[in-house]
Amino acid sequence: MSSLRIDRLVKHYPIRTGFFGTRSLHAVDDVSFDLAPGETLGLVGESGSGKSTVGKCVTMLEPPTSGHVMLGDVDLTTLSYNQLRPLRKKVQIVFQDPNDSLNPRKTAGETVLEPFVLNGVATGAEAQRLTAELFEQVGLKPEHMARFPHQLSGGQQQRVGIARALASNPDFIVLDEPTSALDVSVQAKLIQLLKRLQADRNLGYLFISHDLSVVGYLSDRVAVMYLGQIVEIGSTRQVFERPRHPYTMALMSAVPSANPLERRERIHLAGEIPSPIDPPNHCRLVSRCPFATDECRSRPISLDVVEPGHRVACIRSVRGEIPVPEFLFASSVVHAPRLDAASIGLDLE
Amino acid sequence: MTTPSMTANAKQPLLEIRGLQTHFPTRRGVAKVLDGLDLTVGKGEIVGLVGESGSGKSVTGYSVIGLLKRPGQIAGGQIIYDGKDLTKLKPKGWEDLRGKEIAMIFQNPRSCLNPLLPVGEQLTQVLRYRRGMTKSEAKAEAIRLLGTVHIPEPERRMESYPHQLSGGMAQRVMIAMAISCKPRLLIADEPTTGLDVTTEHQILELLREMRDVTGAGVILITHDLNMAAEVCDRIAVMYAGSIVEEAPVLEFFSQPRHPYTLGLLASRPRLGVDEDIPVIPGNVPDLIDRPTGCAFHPRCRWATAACSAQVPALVELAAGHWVACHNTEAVARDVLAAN
Repeated sequence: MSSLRIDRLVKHYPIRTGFFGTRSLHAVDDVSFDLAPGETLGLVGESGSGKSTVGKCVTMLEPPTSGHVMLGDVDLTTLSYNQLRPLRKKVQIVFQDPNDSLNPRKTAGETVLEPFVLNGVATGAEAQRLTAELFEQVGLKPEHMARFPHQLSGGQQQRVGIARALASNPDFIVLDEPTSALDVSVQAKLIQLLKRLQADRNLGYLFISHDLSVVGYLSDRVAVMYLGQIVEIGSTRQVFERPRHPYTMALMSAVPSANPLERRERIHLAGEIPSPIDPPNHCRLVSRCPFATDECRSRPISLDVVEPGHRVACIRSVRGEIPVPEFLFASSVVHAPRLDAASIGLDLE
Repeated sequence: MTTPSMTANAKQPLLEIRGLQTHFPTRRGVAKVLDGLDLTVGKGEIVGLVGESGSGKSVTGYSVIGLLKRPGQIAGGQIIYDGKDLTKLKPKGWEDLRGKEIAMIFQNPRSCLNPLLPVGEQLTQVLRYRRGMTKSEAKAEAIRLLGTVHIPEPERRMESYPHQLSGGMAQRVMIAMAISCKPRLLIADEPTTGLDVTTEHQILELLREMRDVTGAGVILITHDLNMAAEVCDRIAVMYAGSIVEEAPVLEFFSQPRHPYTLGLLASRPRLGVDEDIPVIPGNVPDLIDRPTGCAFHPRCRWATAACSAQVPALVELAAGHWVACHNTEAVARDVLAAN
């Protein structure tokens, strides 16, 4: 299986201002990463950081303004619509809100069956059989096949979305906030399912989410986006435990810790995320960064290596001028609750 | 965070809900969305009301502030606020209470603000109507309030329309509006839904700050246990319309006792732990055709015959730690053995 490589991806949207003027909204600016089969790359960032746009460009649902989406040796951005069609099935996407992304007038079975027919894999009874098999794999019952999306719960709808993505037998799946609309207990089951499917089929996941605990749990590597750019990328442990970019530091320090005894030291950013319309060429965090100097306002930034596999887009951090906070990775959420036998007055022999 | 004076205050609760029944008649039958809910809130105390969708947390909020939408109705129980039973209150009585003494912050701030009016205008209206201020007094107070909730350049922001504000900013305006009449009880219904982590954190800080300044009691309705851990003094877990466990925050996280709480705590993904997440089997019950006895028993691995026969009462196992479960001992034994 070939890997997926995103090279200098750019996505700008033109915005009309006034009568004649057009400016561009820089949704994604120069983003590069790769994704190996069987690997999960977490893509985190706040709303407006461009993470969903990356997902849409990777699946070619939105043509990138420039840059390359390489599936093995093939550059998907250079292909015509007809050339692209057979390759689309290799990179599938599951959306955040299954209620919006499933066709309300098709039954769950029809939705999942469609790709088999479209891709010429199977028709008729054989397609039905494959659909039933997929339903079982994603933990749905055969009777769910006849249901319409509104007759299914949020968790079940999302399973249908996953089954549909799997029907094309993809190598990679972009998961765009797949668990955000779900309750914790339902979310846990879905995460379990995603892990199992990955192990069974050696799937590569691009896992887009703003929920850091879910990303931390599922991902092998994590990329942090801010205002259209990747500001830090590294192994999950590197990024979560010893973040090097001030933005990542603020993000990690804001993760609510479930253990009230273990309060994290906060790193505050001033103000709010600025407008992505015509952003500056230099570091985009300067207006909010507590460590910003004049140099940050003048030098263009690049993702530089700070340790093997760990790259950061911050000139000061790369030079070691910013203290690196250490967050407890494994203990940031309470473990199995520890009951104290004495304090609850239990007599154990 | 819990000061001795606060615990003293908690003994004279600001709000006491006793056996509240809020029902929604439907074509299929009556949905008992709240079924015997007990909850108290002390002065200056932040109580986290935690539960999954459909557990009845928001309906609790709406019941307390008297904003239940038809056909929803309070079918039993009491809501004692300041010695008065709110379930018996006439519409006239609500006018002096709602928004003034008891205020609520809603989930989606933008949908609660009037899109056609600048936010300053909306704030001054409240102040003139509720606090009888003159136009200029109200304007000055509105600017001050926007400053209190840390909105930069409050004078300029007075002129902004809701769509010109970010989600976090709009929620700050909502909080400013909610505290404008110095309420004694504030109900915050998922106040950070849809906000980013860093903004979420700022809003929570703000809530705590408002509590410190005004001394109001706060009910924080949330599905996020981590968030509740951040700001709450006490946490109450809801399941299918009633409280299954309630405890001071430290005790809650170190000594959880109810099987549902244990399940909730365990089902959060843990960073750096590569084991499977234990899940709670089954689904939330149908509120129209409720299970007999304990509503959680069909999903509970400790369930015994007693659980399907009788609804467990909330029992105080330690100071301030209440649990509604027939098998607390067996549960504790197993949890201890597992560690």
